[in-house]
Amino acid sequence: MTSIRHRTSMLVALSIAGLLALGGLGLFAIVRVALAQQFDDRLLTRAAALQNLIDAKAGQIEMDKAGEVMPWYRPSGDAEYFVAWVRDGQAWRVLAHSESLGASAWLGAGDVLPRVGVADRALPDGRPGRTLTVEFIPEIDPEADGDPNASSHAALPSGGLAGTPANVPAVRLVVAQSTVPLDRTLATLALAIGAVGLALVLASLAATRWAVRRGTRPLATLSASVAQIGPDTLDQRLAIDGLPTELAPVAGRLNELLARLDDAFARERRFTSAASHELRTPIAELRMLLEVGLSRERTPARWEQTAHDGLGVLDRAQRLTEALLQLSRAEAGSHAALPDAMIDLAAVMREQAARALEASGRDVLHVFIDAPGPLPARIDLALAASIIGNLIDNALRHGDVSADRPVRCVGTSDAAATSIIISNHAPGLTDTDVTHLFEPFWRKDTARDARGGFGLGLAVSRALAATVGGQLTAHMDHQQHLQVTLKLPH
Amino acid sequence: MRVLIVEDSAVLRDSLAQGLRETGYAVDAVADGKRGLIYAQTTDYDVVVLDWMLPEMDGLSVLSAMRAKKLPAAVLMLTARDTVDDKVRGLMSGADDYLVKPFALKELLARVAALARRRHNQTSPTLCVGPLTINTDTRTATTLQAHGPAITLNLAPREYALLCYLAARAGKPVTRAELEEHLYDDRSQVFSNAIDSAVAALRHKLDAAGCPPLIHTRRKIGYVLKEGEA
Repeated sequence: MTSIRHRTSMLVALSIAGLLALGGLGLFAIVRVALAQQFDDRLLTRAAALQNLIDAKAGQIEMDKAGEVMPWYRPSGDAEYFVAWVRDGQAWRVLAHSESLGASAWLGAGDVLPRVGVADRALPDGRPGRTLTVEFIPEIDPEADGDPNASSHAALPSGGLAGTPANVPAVRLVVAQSTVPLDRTLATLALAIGAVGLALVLASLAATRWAVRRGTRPLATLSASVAQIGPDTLDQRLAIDGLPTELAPVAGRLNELLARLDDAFARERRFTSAASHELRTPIAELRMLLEVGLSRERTPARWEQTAHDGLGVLDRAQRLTEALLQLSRAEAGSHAALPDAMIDLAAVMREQAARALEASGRDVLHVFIDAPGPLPARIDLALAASIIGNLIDNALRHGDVSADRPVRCVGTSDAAATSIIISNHAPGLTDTDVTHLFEPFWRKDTARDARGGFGLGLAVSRALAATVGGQLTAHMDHQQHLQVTLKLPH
Repeated sequence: MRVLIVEDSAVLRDSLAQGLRETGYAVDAVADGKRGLIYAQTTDYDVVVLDWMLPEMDGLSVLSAMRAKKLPAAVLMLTARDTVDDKVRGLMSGADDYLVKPFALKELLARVAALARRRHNQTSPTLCVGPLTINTDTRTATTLQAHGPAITLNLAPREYALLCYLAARAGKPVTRAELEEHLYDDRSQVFSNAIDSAVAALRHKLDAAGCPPLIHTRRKIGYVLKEGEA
């Protein structure tokens, strides 16, 4: 299972680690460039110093001994190197080189590439190094020319070929230094950046975990509150005050869900309690009937009466069982296939009214049917008869029905659906009662109905209507009439 | 002992009434809560057997109203509700006992007897007056003879009820009207001398069993059950 806390911690830590790595690399690159620049500047300084030792005397290029004033060119473990060539016609002749080079030859003037500039190159002692190559026209030494007042500086500007006197040859100078100290510094720097970076990553991981845990604490609190709510404590609600704005709507929705669950559980409990009551009653009746019968000697006539009473009890128990089975089947078959053919609900209403009249054994029954035309509906005929019959029976049984106040069955049909509204005068019924109307076993009066009702008819009808995508709803109108509406799609 | 049954199921109501009557109780039975309360208010019942789910007025409301009016009758609640919550609710609203449907006749009779006893502050199921011993559990009366075995009296249910009622109030005079109210229910046709005839029959049976005279007449008042009176 994914944990938001773990995921967020990992994502934040990874981001921080990435950013730190980029920062470290950038820092390393900048420092490296700066150090290399500094290194090259030093090479340039070295070259400039050597350049000062080279001058032209009477057409001859000469170089003063460097070793005396520049001890770094003497042979040693960290010696530096230089080689100077002077142009001799088309070729280059070695003018001088550092003592550190000894007798060995290192580079030829023609090997030096680029002609002017820096390059990485292994030193003669094998260490990695870097070379700087410059080319210049040596200055003419005024003292050597015997004319101390002559300003050859002015006549012979150094460092460029343009304007160079034709008799002074060019000098090419290569200075070289080991890059080992530079590499060591860079390695140390890389190590330091890496170590600091790693420490920062670890620290940020801990900080992230702490921050995320702290940040998600309201979530944990909410989760703990939700975990405490069980089937017996569904009346509890989550406290919304003090929750962050992101969680308040979640808690609100959860509270709504809890309210619905609480409602459903209460309905279920009422159903179970009512069902157990209804099922126990006939057992209690039969048991008492037989026990009292057996408690004394009885006449055959008396036993016959007991048997009749017992049959009556069984009859009712059987009807209850059938109604319960019907309800359970209707609720289970909530996705029944729709029949292909349409039936006329107006005809069903008339048939059911006739059946109710016959069943009542009376001469007249106050049921008024208003169906201007056919009322087509896509529903099984037996199903429609069962629903509409239930509704008419219910209205007749519980309504205040008379010639002035008949049960009215009004049908309408439009493009989308066919509706039947069955209404009856219900003086004692309140709006609150109407909300319980479709609950199994709900009766306005808690007593068992002497007329044989169990309070299952409307529940069964609603479940049956739902099997074909229909709806059964109820409301009270202003004249205290209960209107039950059956809406069936085409 | 007079019992009121408030139960809306006709079969159960009639069976219960018959069972209790045959045991010797005077029984009235009604089908709805409102009438139940009216009956309970107008007659001094020893025990009321009260169903929970009733038309007009449910059992709990009847019970609350009875307790509010300080009616002394012991109440046995009958119901098909069997959850602990339901039982607690029933007992908390003043029921003296609680019986879940379905139940056995024997159990109901035992509980009604226990409640009736408690109603008259009688802690033991036996009542003793002189040589007479009445066991209200087995509903038998026996007399001890000076020389010889104890004799169990063969009493009709109403005679037993009369003896029992007088014995429960031994030493205290009981009026004829009170006896009528507790021994006869609304169905009985009570003649003006019914109590006197019943007392005479009872006296005869006690005498036949060798019991000294215990039931004494109090002129213009009624009767008293007492030992050792001339």
